[in-house]
Amino acid sequence: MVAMRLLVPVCLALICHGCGTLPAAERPAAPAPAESDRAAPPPVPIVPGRAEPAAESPALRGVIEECWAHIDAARWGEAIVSAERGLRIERRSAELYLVLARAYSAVENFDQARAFARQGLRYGDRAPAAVTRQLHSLLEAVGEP
Amino acid sequence: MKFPYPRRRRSRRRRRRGRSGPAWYWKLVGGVCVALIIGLIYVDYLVRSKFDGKKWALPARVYARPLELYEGLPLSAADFEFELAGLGYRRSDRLRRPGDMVERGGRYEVFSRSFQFWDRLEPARRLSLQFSGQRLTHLGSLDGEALTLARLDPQLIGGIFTAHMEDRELIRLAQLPALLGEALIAVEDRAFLDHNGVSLKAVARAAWVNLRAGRVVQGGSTLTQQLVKNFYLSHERSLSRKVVEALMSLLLELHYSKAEILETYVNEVYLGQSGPRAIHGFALAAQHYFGKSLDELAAPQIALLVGLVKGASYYNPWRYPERARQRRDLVLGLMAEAGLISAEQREAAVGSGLGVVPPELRRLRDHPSFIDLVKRQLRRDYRAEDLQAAGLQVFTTLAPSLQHRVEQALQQRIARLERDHGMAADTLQGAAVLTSVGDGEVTAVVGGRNPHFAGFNRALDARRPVGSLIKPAIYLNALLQPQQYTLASRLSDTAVTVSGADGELWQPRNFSEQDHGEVLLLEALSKSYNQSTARLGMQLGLAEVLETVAKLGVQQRLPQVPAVLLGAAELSALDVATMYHTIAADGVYTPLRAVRAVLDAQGQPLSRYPLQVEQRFSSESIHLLQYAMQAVLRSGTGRPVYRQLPQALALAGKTGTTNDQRDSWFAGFSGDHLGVVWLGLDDNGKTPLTGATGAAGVWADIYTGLATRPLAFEKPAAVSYHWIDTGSGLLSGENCQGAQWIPFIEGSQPAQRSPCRYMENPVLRWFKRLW
Repeated sequence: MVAMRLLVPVCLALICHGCGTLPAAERPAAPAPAESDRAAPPPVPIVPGRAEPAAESPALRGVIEECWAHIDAARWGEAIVSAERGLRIERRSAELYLVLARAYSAVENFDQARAFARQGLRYGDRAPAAVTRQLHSLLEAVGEP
Repeated sequence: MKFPYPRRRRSRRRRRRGRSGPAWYWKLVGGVCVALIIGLIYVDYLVRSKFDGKKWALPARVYARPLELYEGLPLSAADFEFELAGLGYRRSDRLRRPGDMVERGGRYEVFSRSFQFWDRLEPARRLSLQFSGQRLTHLGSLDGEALTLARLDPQLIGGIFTAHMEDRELIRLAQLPALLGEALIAVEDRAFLDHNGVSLKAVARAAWVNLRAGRVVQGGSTLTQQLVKNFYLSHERSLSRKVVEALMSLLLELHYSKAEILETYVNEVYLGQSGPRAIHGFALAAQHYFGKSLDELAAPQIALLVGLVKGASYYNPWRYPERARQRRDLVLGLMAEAGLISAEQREAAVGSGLGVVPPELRRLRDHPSFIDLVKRQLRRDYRAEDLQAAGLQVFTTLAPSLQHRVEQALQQRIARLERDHGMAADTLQGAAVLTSVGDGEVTAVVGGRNPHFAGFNRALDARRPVGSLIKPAIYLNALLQPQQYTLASRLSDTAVTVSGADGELWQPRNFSEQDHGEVLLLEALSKSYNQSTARLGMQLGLAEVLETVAKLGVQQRLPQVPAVLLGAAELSALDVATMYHTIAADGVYTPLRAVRAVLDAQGQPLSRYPLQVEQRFSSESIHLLQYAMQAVLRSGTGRPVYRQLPQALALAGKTGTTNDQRDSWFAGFSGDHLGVVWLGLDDNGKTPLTGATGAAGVWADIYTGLATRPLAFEKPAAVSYHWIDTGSGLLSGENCQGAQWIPFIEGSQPAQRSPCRYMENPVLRWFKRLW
């Protein structure tokens, strides 16, 4: 019984930890397995997640800084190459899409500029406000087709 | 009137008659001389035009993607080692030169090689790395520089050759190690610097040496003659050819310097065979035999290469190691005799190991299916002759460790399926495509169960009915209309009859032959019900569904017949990958790419193939579809996948099975990788496999142990989740029986609430019982 009493708080802590990734209001209960599913493990509920923030990687930060250096020097081709390199590290970086949009806008490829600006805005909720603002103003500048 | 000049004519006739013998003779001599002069001019023209012009057809060299290293990179230590082995990095006790690596208890030190990429010159660096789980957790420089990102040299994965399959790596004479040049002269042509192309002394000496040895140990041809033979002539042995060879050698020496002749020789000489690819020149031979550049070779290795000049097949060091060793040692002796190495050096080297790379590494890691895709992409922009002869450098997207993983998974699972299902051996075929998600880069292509066989490329050319793989397009089309359809919409999964354009009736049945009554749209997709899907497709309209398929990236026109709703459409694995990539990339279409950039022979950029994006679907509708495709794997037809893969890895996918189980498909994706697998018979025969029991197994094998991140299933702002009663499709509550948490595009959730049958949380019930 003593062992049982020790086990309970441990289990409780584990359960709490397991549920800690989502707020209680967002936490779904696992549906009961269907009759035919008994051999398979019970299905895990499908919950929306969140990608790791892009800016945490020093490699990505270095690439972004390189991109801006190219943009400042009007090296549009190099900026595009570097931004693509960065997207291979983190494909949801709004700032890299801003670089691409700026570079394509500069070389008057407005279709791609628009497409990358929109793409940046899709991932803009994790980006600094300045990036989102610039994406909006760039999209406004290149206009709708 | 008399003819005024009879005498003269007569006398002329007399003169002609009197000199008829000698005139004929002189004419003949003159004719021969003229013919010889013309012949000489022609031979001279041949010699000069080829030597001055483009000497060789240089095949395009095709490289894998370079491995980018940074902290957080999803990569296992095993895959890292595989990549290094493919690049020919040598295990060592400490870093001495580029190409060395040290491994101590899970920590790595690597001396990377310098390489000119399309965007920059990557310098050689001494790196320190550490892996934990399936991630690179530490990257540092041993040279003291701050380093967050490094790039390894790319693996050479093939070439685009002419029919002769000649390959070579050109070098300047100045780049040739002096010891190699001098050893070559000492062994092949001691009088090279003195003769004029042909050396009678050399012929006499060779005859004497051979006579003494009782066998042919030395040739009498000069290096110039050998070059002429290889460069201009055939390998026919005849006196006339010998004469032409000598003449051409004299002309070559007349027009060109010894340095020019030697430089051409060291690039031309045949030094071995790698499958169908002929190895020419010392630079490529050094890579082929030793996995090193020329300047890294030691004296015994140089001696072996020089020895191979006499007969690369006869002295093949892998096939005839003893014969090759004897030849190498003979060359070492000649080198010592000529004073190129000391007697001690010779003693130390004689009898030592040949030092050639293991036989399994000697061939290019050929990936014919992937190279095929590369060629098709390049043919849009380059002429075939430029690809085969202009020495282009092609940088592709192939990831060697992933390609190997896919090849292994397909080969091993196919053999197992044949065994488990009692199929005839070597009949089941397969194809697979792996791409990275987002940038559309194709990282692996396998066109059959024998991945190194350059035959029919099933991944690109086998267009087979896709079965239920088409269904996500139908459901996406429905979810694009949130006011009409949600994941909780109820569909009838009872018998359905559809009339085609020609009046023919089509009556699709479920795979289980059972009706399911009213089901939610979510269940209809996750459990791949045919009847409800056909009914939904007809409600939506064939043209609209096919338009969605096209927007997903399928370029070919599909037949506008009802059967297309259940996958009568014939697509290749690559077509399916294009279609599913749009879903995996949150509704953004990106043309799949196998090539990043092309450089010319001098390393100047010719073309780049940049990322292109086009948002074709709203992130909200794609979020709903990705939810349903996760349900396929969590509770639907793709469940077997999670018997192998960890539950924490969020994945989405779809199974596909065609009539009589002729085709077994699976397409699915994580946050980083999209994979498509097809299994079937080449004769379109029946198999015992469904998508779940066949292709899904291969797919799961590929993803087992793969360093990949879970699907980043981020909720768009305009999507909200609600508890839904899976029976009625109405609103429910967290602890109500049969409730499921389902996403809706804002405003499209049901307004009505279903009665709730309270169900106690099983964990709480267990907890209460304890007390």
